[in-house]
Amino acid sequence: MKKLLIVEDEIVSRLLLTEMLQRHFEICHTAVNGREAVDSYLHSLEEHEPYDLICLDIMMPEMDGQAALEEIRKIEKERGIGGNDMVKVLMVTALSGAKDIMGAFMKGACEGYLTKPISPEKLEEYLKKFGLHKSITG
Amino acid sequence: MIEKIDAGQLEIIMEFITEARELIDEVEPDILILEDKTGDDPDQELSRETVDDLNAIFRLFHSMKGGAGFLGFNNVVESTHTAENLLDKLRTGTINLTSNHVDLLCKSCDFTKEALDYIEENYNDEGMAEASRELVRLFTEDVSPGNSATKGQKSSQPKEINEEPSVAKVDPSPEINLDMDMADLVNPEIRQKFLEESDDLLQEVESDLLKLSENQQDSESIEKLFRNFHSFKGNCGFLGFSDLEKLGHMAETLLDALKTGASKEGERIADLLLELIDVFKNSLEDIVKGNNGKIEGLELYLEVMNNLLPRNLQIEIKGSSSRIGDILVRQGAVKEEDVQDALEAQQKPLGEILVEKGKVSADKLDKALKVQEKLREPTQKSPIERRSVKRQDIRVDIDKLDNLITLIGEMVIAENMVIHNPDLQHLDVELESFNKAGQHMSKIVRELQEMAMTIRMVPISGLFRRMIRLVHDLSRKSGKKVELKLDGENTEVDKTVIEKISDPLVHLIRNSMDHGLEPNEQRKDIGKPEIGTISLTASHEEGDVLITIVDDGRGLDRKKLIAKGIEKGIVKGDGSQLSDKEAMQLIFQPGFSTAEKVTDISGRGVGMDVVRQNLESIKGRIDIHSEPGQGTTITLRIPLTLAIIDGMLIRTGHAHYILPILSIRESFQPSMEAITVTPDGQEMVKVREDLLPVVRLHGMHNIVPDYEDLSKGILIVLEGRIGSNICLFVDELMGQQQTVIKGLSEYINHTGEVSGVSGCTILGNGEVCLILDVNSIEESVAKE
Repeated sequence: MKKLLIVEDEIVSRLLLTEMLQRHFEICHTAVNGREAVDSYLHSLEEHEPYDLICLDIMMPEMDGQAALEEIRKIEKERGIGGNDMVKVLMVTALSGAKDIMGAFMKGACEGYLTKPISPEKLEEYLKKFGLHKSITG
Repeated sequence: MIEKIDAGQLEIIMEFITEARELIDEVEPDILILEDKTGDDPDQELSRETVDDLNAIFRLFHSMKGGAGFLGFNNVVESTHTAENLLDKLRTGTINLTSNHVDLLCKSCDFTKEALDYIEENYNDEGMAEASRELVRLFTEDVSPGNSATKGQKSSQPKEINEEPSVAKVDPSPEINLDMDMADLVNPEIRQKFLEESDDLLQEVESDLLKLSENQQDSESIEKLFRNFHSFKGNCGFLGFSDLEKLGHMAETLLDALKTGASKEGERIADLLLELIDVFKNSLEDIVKGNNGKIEGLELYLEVMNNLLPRNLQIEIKGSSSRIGDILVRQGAVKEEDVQDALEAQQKPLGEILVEKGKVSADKLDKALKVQEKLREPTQKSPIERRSVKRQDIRVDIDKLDNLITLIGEMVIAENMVIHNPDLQHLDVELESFNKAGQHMSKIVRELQEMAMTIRMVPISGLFRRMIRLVHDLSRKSGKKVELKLDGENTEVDKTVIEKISDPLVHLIRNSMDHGLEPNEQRKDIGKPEIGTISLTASHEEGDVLITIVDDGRGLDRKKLIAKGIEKGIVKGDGSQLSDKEAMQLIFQPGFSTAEKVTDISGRGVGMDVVRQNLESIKGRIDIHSEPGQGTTITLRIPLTLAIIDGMLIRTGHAHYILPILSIRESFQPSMEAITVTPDGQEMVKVREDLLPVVRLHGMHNIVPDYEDLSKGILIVLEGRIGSNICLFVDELMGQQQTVIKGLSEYINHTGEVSGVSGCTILGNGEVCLILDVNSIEESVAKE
């Protein structure tokens, strides 16, 4: 049972991402800001059904993706979740956000990034790398 | 990879480098901590703490991998990736943590640092390819199945790995040596850190040794001492200060003998080590100067120490106690005599003889042999002590602090200049908003000033600790047993103040020890507790720090003091006119000493005089109170800080002065009836029961006052050092204000024409204003 969380404030991007990703995951949740993302994440931990992947937009109202990522990593640290058990996080950003991406890597230990417009190939590549890819026939 | 670098990319690369360096600095200590965990039982689950450490390290490599990947630094990606893999395996318990792993992780950190340096110069990591491959190879070798590091097997030494023929996967690259070269790692920063740590360490050691010297059975102190010497020795070895290391090692051996109970000479060992503390200190000073801490006469010290060891543990200087017989005895597997027997008949290895003779079982011998092996291994323990609490402090050059405080002082003046600006008085408008803003600024400036002052504050405990040593030494020398009680060690005092009161305190304690406390037998005879007590207390009182030294000795003898005073010509007549307090003050006169014989400790007659001078130089006061036969209490009253005082602005005629608030008792307008004039012309005013001399401030500095009539102006009662109060006559009290003290130039003091003044300050309107020195005013009155 693979679980996905898409965090994106903008509806078009959110739908697009969902569209691209949902066939790889049994459960697909969405959130519209960092605060909701952290809440959903916490909830998933309490249910003992943590997410396998979180796609996190960097620019969001309330709590941005960077802050949410750091918060999530903090929770993991507190609960002793580490190593490859840490949730895989892909940051989603507009092309210009190179600095933000670096911050996400270094401060938030994210696993990768997607730039808008999102290329399906790159997304698939990541999924394969994380072992979350499901071929169409399977 | 990136071929042409534009400013944007450059910024990102720099960001990466900065972040990565910060991460490494944060995580590296965690790696070294893991070293301690390598000895843990392999079958046991990893503690939460260890897992947290591993997770933190994992995150470091993970972050770095991500960042490097983003920038296309593939070599860094590769090496961090392998490190990450290893960590994940360690974390989940797939493989067990060994010192080799710690080594590898350290190497990864070193590699990454090197790579970062390279990237900083070249904006790519191509030059790190070989090093990266080499590192990956080391990791693969270690993690690959069948290797010695897998579950349940003993750890292998890193050396073996390096010497093993490389797997065909990558070319061996001999020119890149990833071995941790200690000498290269020892940069000045580490050295400095070492010196600072050692300083703290020695202080701790000193106080523990004193405890041990008092109580030989104090196993807690022994344990602590052993640990401290152990880590000290380790640090010295790591940094290559071999003399210090040898001495430290010997100290450790001695303490080990105490710990295991092999030696009962706790007191002698403690005393010897106490004496050696100075040797350690000298050597460290040598290192401060940039040398390698050579110890003169090291062999001799070692020999003396060795001689204190029980015979069977004595060793040839240099080697450690790794003889199998000793170890077996220590483990309790055999008796000492059996070892001696065996040694006499020794042809084969000792262990085998013992087994043959049935004195020890083979497996016990096996165990001992393993210990022996360990002992013979060079100590390569990690040099960084476990620091569970991350210290949130930085060390700052004191000059910078002084500058900061001077600047803040200037700011206080500038603030006064703005708020009390004379131009404002010519304005006829209501300055409501300005005043509000002014108040706000004053508040902030004041807070800033207080904050700056607290930066300079350090606990007085360091100074007090030194006194423990002093009392110990003195009590050895004089044969008097003394108990020193400390209280209020955490009281914080300006660092400069602490430096200044160090000598006075030493003098006072010496005095108490030598003159105050009676010899033990005498005390017993007169029914006092045999062991004398000196208590040293520090506390805050208003803006001052109070330090009291109380002894329960014989106290000051009024008759003796007066007799001595007459002899020295200080006291006129038979001295009966002196109050007790005044008689006590006699001991602060230059050249005054009542001790019948001059001892090594004190009694040269300079002590108390110097004490008073030292205290006065920091605007402190000393009070003495004594009951004959009961003991003496000496109180030091020192301002919290030297730079700023609370002052009262006063005026006489056109001149303004500042009086330290602390010396003001009260102020009042006298009635004519209260004033009398003595036959020699001195005006006196009656304040309640006392007649106090009146000093006309305008008279001192030839100023034309507003009022000549005492009943028109204001009298301020001042409390001076001698304790007799005086009244200062001024025209007006202008109000209280924070005063930044500026010293008077030397030449002004030298002319001797300025009396009763200790310094100056600058007022809000830019006018220079003198700060009055109550003590010297009082003295001039007393002279007349």
